[in-house]
Amino acid sequence: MTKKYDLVIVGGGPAGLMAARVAGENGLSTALLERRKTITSTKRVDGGGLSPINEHICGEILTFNPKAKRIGFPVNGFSIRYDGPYRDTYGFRIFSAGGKLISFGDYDSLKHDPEHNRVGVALDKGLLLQGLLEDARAGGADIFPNTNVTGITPGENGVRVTAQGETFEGSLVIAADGINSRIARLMGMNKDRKFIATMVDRVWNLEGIDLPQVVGISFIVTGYGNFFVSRVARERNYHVGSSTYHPGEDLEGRLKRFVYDDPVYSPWFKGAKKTEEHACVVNLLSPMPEPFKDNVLFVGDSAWLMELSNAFAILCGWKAANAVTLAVLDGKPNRDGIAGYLQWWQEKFYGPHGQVEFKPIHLDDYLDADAIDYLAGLIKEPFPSTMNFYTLFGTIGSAYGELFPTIQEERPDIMEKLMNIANEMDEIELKARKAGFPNR
Amino acid sequence: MISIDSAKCVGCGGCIDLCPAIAISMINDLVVIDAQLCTECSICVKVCPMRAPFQTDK
Repeated sequence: MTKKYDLVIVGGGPAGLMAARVAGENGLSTALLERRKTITSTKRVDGGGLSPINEHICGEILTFNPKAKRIGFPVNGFSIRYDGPYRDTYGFRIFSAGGKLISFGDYDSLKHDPEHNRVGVALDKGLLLQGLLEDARAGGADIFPNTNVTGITPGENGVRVTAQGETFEGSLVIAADGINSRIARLMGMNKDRKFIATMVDRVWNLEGIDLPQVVGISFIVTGYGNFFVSRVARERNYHVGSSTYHPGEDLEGRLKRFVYDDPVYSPWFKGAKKTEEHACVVNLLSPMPEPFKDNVLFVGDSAWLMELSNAFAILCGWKAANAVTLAVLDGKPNRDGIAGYLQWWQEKFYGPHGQVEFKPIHLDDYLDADAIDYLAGLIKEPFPSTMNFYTLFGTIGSAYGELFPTIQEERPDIMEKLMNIANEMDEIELKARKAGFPNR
Repeated sequence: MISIDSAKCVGCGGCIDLCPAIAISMINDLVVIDAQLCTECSICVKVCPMRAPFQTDK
């Protein structure tokens, strides 16, 4: 039997749930299909938060009001609820093999005024999704958990989505099925995208420790692997993870070495209890300039290189559902009808950030611990506080660009290694592509 | 045949996304391979961060 809707949404993450709420509230008949039975459970690695806040990015400046329990999107003019624990975060930090620190933000002075100085907030993603799910249901959307989409067929009168023997037909479809979107593959959207690598992550939740030196997301670059340690919403809990562009590498062995045996970093984790494991696989494909084909609109991560972050997925869902509402009300359930969304995507996301070249490189593959320590030690003063990845990459890139003459003079051996990395970049990229699975 | 070791699987869904045959689903929050559809390409085995999928009868 075919169920007919104005809008069928595939995927019940932040983008899809927000789109379902808005479309439902706007009066569209809306179905949301999600493969998980428990929509609020998050087994996948997630950033767990809201960042960056209090900073303009992609045409928005996020706000967080714990008293009102709301996350605001003031430029676009809406807010969502979040009722759960949170911890303020104050920026990225990069630690080297021997313990040298590059800091974004001077935490000791920032921490006295969290309201103004935090640049992100760690949240419980399950509770964030729960608020969105309840609001989507209240808005009138039909939610179908435990529903695996296996086919999609665009037609004259609508798009048919098949899932375990059932068919859902929508005038328009929103594909919010995440970074490795099945809908994108089924619709042939990945053919023209540049495949960069398959990134694989593994994360442990460690409980029972306090790490005052970790004030947001910290990256630790050792001679045997890259790690990240991040504050999560629960007190005395941290996520510790490692990632690779070469699936099959022993991430567990690497994490064990870091947490239990690293001479500099294992003391951080003394007495900690491993309470959860998370994992994820991210296929890095260049973002879609035009996330639309045959009445299917690709929203949030499904159209992007890697995760957009919770807040920006929500923003995309909000914008997309409003665009679809106008398309339906105007009797134009087609490209013309949602052209406003495509223009917004181009102006706010693809234009400013969509063509940033992503290099699948981990420095520890090319530099030893001594070189990493030397390079980290060159940065003496904290950079401005941020949890915006584009600012992170830009700041680091220009800082080291200016330091090249110093490195050349003090450590010509390290300068030579850096030049070799630059010269071998084509080979490095090829190696990562070959190790991955393009998902076309 | 390829099976999933449910003691190792955390349910991230990476294998579901990358399976070219669309043979893997999430049923009641468990990752399940449909033996009828599986072509034994073993991409799931290679990509899984938890090393949960494994070849059973070779």
